[in-house]
Amino acid sequence: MTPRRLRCRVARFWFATCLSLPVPAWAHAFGERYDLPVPLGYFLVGAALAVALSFVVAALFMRAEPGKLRGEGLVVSLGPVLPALRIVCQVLSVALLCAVVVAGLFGTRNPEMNLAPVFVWIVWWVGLSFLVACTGNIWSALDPWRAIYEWGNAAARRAGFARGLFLGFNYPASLGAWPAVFLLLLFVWIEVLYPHSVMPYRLASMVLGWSAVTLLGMMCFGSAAWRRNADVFSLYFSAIGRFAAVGAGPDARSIVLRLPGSGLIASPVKSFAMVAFVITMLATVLFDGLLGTQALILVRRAAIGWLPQLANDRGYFLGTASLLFVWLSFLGAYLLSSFATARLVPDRPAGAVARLFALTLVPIAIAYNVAHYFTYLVVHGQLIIPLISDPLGRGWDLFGTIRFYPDIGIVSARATWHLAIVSIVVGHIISIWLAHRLALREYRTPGEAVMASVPLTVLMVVFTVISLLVMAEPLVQFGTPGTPS
Amino acid sequence: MMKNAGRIAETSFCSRIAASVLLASALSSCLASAVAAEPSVKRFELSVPQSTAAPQARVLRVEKDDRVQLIITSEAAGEIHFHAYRIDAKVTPGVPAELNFKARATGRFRIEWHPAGNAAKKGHHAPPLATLEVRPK
Repeated sequence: MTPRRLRCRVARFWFATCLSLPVPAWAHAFGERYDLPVPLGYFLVGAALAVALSFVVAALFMRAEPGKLRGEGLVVSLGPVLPALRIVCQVLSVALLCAVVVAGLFGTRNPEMNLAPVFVWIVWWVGLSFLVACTGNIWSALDPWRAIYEWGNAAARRAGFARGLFLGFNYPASLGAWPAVFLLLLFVWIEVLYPHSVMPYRLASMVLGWSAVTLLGMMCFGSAAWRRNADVFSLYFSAIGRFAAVGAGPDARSIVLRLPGSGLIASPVKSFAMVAFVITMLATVLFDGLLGTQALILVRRAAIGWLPQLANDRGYFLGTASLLFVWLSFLGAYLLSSFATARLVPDRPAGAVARLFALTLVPIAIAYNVAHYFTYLVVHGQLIIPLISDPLGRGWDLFGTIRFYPDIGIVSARATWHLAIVSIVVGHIISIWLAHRLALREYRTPGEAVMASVPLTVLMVVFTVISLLVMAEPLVQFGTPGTPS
Repeated sequence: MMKNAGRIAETSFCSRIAASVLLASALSSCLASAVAAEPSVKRFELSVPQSTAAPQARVLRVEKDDRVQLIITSEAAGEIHFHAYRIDAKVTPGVPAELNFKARATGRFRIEWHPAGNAAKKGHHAPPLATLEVRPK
């Protein structure tokens, strides 16, 4: 190892050290984030825009004719390209899964110099969410566990087992998609609150554990039933992918081109558990943003004042409590708006209203993701560049990128602020627009449709303002300006 | 040139700068950039308490491209780490350490204190000694 490379590695080590150590204050997977709170001026402009544009959307759509709003997508056949691409994706994805596990188990223990945490938490979880929102649900082609199961299944069939790997159990209908809701909460808990989630060895063990669970689940209940009800990642990426302008076609060789977001109002979710799942997607991103704020650090300090024992549990109790609190409040607020709609337009029961409009919240979830994670992805995602040359932290330099050091100044704070405000306001407007379109299609008259979407519009304005509040931290800026009291 | 001397704990100067920056950016970003056209030197003194690192995070606010001077005094040996900017320095009791750098990247960055002999102890990490906030002009 040349001295220069050594220096570079030492420097990267310092960058990594603080992040590798569990911190008592909570943080997103890779510890320190560099985001500055959004200044109050931006916050006020964003909130005002959200409210004003909501009225504009409502006013415009009051006059729209429902018949003209039904836009079917354009089916494009790509011939054998798609199946071939799918096989390439599957092979690549299974290879990456193996690389992550091997790197995590046998590579360096420093999280930033190990492929496993950087790939799982930054490239896959954050990066793929953005990609899927643009390209459609490519996870269904990339899903390595699905690929492994399908390969195993085909091999078993060829070996003479009529049912392949399928053991023939019926998925218990009463469970519905609740396992996925629980798993999403658990996953976010690990991501945000579990301090060892970036430790390569623990992460690789968790990946192996999940592989065993999901493969066993597919064997017991069949691949489709498992992915529809319990496979949290399939459901997550599928919901986000519905937003994209590209969707799956009627057969394996074609795709559908459609208006962005129109996939979300094509059909309502089928169960209340799926409503809860969409709300969880929304609430968990906001929760992560909330944890980064000084406001919650103050809450923690106050809580420790009441109960000194809380100081020693590394924030587990308070973190878990606030995760559940945020989730339940979001769910409660959404159900309340559904009840209000059912009262205003007694056309269908509240439960049906909740299922009908649930997916229109997905653009807000995507907007939260962009607002909270884009800069993080661009700054911390650069860690993957040296890592592709040395995935196991063994001092290799496969592609000559080992000397690369992340440029932390690549996105200015002002750009981040603009992006955050614009994405949240735009996501909010898309959601309101979709809800109006859906209401016009589902209710008898435009008047009823407007009435039906009033409670949801109010709720979306509230969500937007809360989300802006979390990023602006005005409580802290006004209350305690950061200097010690 | 603005000089900001004295213990950060006692100064309200920083918060006033921050408040004016906030106000300025809310009113007009042109005004803000005109005011802060010339890079200035911001000087902060941090002292490490003898027992544990600071119980409350202190926020040092500067503007992008400011020259920052940090003076760290400690009564115990240890190291100061400013990971994001890749800066670290050893501190010996009684001898103040000085860090000079240009605030080239905007954001909120932690400045960590590691007492000597405690660096390898995993599972516990003290809250940051201070947080540096670099605001855009």
